[in-house]
Amino acid sequence: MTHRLLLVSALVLVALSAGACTPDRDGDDVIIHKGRYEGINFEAVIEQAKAKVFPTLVYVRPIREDYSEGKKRRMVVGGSGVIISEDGYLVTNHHVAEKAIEIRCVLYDNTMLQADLIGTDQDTDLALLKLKPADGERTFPVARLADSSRLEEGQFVMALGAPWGLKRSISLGVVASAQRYLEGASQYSLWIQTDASLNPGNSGGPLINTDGEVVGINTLGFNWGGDMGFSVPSNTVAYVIDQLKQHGEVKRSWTGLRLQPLRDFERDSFFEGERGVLVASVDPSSPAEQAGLQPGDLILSVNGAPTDGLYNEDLPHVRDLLGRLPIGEPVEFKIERGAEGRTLAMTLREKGLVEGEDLDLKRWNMTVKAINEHFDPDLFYYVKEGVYVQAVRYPGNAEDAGFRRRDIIVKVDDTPVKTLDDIRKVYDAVMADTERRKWVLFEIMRRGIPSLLVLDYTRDYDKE
Amino acid sequence: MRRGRRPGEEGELRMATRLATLVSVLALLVCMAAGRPAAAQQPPAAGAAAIDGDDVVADPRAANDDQAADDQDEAEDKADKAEAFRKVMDQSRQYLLTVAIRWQKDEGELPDGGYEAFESSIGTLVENKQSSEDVGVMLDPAAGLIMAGDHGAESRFVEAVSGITAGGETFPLNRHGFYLGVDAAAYRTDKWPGPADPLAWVDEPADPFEVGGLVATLGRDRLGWRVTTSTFGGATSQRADMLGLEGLVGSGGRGLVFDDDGRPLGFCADSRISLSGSRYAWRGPDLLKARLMTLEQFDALKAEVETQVGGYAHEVRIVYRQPEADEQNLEFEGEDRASLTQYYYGYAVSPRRVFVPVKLEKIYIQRFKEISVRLGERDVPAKFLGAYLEFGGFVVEMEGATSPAVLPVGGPADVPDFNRAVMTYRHERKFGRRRNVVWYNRVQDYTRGYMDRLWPVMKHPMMRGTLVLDFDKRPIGLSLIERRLEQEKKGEDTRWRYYYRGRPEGLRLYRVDQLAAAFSDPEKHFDPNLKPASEQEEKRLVWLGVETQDLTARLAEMLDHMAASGLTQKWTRKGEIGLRVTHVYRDSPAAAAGIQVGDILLEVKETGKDKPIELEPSGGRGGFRGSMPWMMGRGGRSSGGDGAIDRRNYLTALLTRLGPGTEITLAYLQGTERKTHDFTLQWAPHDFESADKVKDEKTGLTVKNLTYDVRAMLRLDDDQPGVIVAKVEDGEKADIAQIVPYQIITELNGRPVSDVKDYETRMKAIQEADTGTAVFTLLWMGKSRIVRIEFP
Repeated sequence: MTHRLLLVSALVLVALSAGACTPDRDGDDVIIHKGRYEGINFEAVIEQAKAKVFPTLVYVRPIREDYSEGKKRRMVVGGSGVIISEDGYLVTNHHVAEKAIEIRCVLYDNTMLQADLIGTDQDTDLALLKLKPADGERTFPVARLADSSRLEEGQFVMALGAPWGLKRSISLGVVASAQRYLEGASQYSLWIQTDASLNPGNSGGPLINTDGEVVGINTLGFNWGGDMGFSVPSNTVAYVIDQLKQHGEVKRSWTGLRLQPLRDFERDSFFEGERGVLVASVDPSSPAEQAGLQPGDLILSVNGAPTDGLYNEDLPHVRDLLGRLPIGEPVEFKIERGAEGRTLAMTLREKGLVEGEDLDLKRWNMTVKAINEHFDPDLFYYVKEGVYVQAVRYPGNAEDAGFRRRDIIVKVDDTPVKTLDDIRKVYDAVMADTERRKWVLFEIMRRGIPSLLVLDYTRDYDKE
Repeated sequence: MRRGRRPGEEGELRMATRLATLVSVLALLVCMAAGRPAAAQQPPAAGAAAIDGDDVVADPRAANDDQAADDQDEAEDKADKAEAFRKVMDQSRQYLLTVAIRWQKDEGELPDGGYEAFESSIGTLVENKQSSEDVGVMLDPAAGLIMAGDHGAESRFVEAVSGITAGGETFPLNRHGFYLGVDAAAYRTDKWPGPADPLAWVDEPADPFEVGGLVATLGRDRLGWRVTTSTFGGATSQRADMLGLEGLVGSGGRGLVFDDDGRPLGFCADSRISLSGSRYAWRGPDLLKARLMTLEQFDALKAEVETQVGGYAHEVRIVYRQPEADEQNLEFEGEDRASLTQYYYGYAVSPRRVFVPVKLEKIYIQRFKEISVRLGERDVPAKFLGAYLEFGGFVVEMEGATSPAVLPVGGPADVPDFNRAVMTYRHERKFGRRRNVVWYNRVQDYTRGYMDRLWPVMKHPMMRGTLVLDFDKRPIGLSLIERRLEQEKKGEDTRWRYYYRGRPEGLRLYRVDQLAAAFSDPEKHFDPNLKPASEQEEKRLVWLGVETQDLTARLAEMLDHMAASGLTQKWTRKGEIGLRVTHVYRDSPAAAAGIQVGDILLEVKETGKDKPIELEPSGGRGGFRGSMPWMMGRGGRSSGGDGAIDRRNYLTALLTRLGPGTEITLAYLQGTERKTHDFTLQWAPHDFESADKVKDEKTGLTVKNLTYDVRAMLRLDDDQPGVIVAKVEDGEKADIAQIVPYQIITELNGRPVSDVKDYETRMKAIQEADTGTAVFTLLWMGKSRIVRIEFP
């Protein structure tokens, strides 16, 4: 999706971002309207709302270690953030702060501060940072979160942030949709769609209403430009930062269910009934499978709470409901199979990491990644654990040996590989052994069939 | 004059003597050219002295007398030779001429040998505005008849012909005809500027080994026209004749041949002569009598040939099966390369059977859908009988009609001799019409080919399927592509080898008597692997039941390193050959034979054949090989071009070419042991490509059975029910429901789908119901989705 572009592209424009800002005007709220449509001083509205939030806006510049093109790379990324507590908690996007080894921030008054990563949530693409004032205690200006459930289409909103690294920018628009469902982006939350301009670098910045409250965190835009941006609603933000503050992560329960709505206009697929949500798939060895749920079942309620999923737009709410169920104790599912009603008990597990970790096998010129049950790279068949080739550097030793993206690594020399740790140990041992011949025998799985590859790492491509 | 013929002297010695004396004559000439008296300055050539020394030894009693006599002989010799040379030059200047041909292009029919052959010869001359020049001789001044080298090109490419004398005088010429037994053309003129008397040819039969003297030819250089002489014959170019006839001697070039006395012997048109003159004429008196075919006569003969051959040469129309979207498209050579209807030409070999002299790859024959033979004004339906094992060509049989004539195979069985002209008959299709082209060609040489067979080499390249006849209109042979089965079996694509610079490699002139048996009893000569097949049959493969990876030098070394042995490298010649087994399919022949993952397949030997076929890796990096017949995609996302298992790999292609039922011995390396196992090759079960499939118009879905290869790749359980989506039509219900290829339909309306038959029956029932609803459970990578489609 486009958020990748938002963050990557922002890097390019570092040079442009160095510029002084004008200090904000202080002042009391101006009476701007009598009746709703009467005598609105629109400029004043903007000015007032901006004045409230501008001091809380932060330009975030993390240094990240990333794995791409078959090697570990360090890069500086750019995004935005908004301060939500006087002691310096700051909200931004997960995709801005992920894998950061250092986070530098620039405040409205050009103060430069470091920040700590308190926690991130990949599912909602939110991250919580805490500013570290150099002089110890400091009180920060704070933005207030609005109740996003009261948001309506057509309301004026403004996006604040650092598009393309250009600090303290504002764009204006309306709420294009307050309940946008985006397939494949954020399972647990709907989106606010706006036509306020969002560009790379806006990520993590606030979307505010005319009262100067944060209604969402700007997250996605389209890389071909235009006037469609998407923000995480403030109510989701409120829940997630609370979780992050408490646990450093959002603890969600996992059922292993994949859901689909009863009425799917896009796919021209309509099931009868007004209640419940359809089970599309049950992951192998998941709590749902153990509880006996099957594809095609209709889930009516969970612990008494209705789970109606008539349309796609209803699914995030249902998933969120399931995700907040208690872990490790039985939960009651009321379902319908065919015409028959049943009650099943399911003991949910914690969801854990959404995506496996990466590892750079530097001298071998490839990066590998842990296979994770929540993340499904195209490995041709369903696997829950193991290590696969995330990328092969060109030119490089792995490329020469015939490795390809998505090869599953089964064995290195005589050592079976099940986890990232396994291969890390083999790699370290092989590299530490300066006496050995610089050839390694791999057994890999490609398209369901095993094969052997010989990797010769005599050549050091990094020297070239 | 010293014409010493001493009884008992060896012919070879005699030849050497001639050569040596000639060398001295030439040395003398060089001195004369420099303006100095040769006798005073130039000692005899060393070679000549040595030969004379031998003469001395031959008669030791009169050594001193002989010495004096020899000195005298030598002086006389020199004078004689100078005189002879003067005569050679005089006659050459008077009777030799150059025939200059100005060429033009003709965009009409394809010339013999194709345009590439044309471009490489005439085409370049046209572009450069150059004439071609052939040396000729005035044979008969009274009739204005000139003999010259024969270019052999069709008249339509000739713009103008002129003659040029040694003095540089130009006069008009007409192309008159060509000689049948001499590689020469005939021209006529009524403006001959030379002497009115013919050359005084020596008219006496000669000992084949007695020919000597000079060859004089005419050419030009920077200074103008000039006569050049060279020695004729020479022991080095004398050769034994493979055909059991008497020797031929290569001369110094084309031109007039003179004896040692400067008397004209004959004219060499082809830089070779037949010493006895019996192979083809070259002596002057014989040339005057040589059989000449004038262009007028030839035109009349061509018309006769066209009529006669037309009785048994027929146009054969073949309609090919339309390939499916995912199938390989065939490339055709005909005029309309994109059309599935192609035209070929063949010869009736029996009243109902027509032989089409075209080599088609297996896949072409497999796609034959409809065959008809054009007889007069009607198309007669025909069926495929078989394609030959030894050469490229197939036979079709007409239904309900007979050919008015049949290709006679009882013609002259003797080999056409060097230089002899033969007639050629071929067809082509131009602008949607059949054209017959009759012209002539000559046998130029013989060559030894595949399996040591001896083949005539024609002077001009011939096209595939050309019929060769003698001038009595009797068929001699057919130009066919020789099949080299070993190469075909190894999977080498031989198709393009045959079209290199218009001189098709592998194209041979088969004599009709060589073909007679193949025509009269074709079934015995057919290749059982070549026959039309349904789409499904075409895609079937012969298997052992393994997946393999190519061995590489590095992998072989590594395997040996891990096993602390040297066996892999030993048996695979360090990874040069060998396919490492990566998967063995359950219940396959390989599984039954005990072949295991990690074994290395080395070679396949057909029972009864001497040499095994070594299994050679493609030279890749030890990865997987092959084109990618189907791409995996999911949920509208493509997986980026990584193909699935391609069952069409080197090994299955090889086994399929060998064909089911073939007995083979497989040699393989298992652990430390080299083992062999005998197999009778058999068809593989259907794979994804050849699987049974069902298309259902109302949903736009094409589904196939779950085959062994798909189960292996997706690691499905053997009892996993379902059918796999092979194709989804754009905009149809299944497409809207976002069903994508390679998802598996496991259930339909809550019940498992066992195979395409089950699917078809149930879908039909659902669609025929008034308010039919199909609920599919789709599976991909362990995850499923429910899709509901309603049929109004």
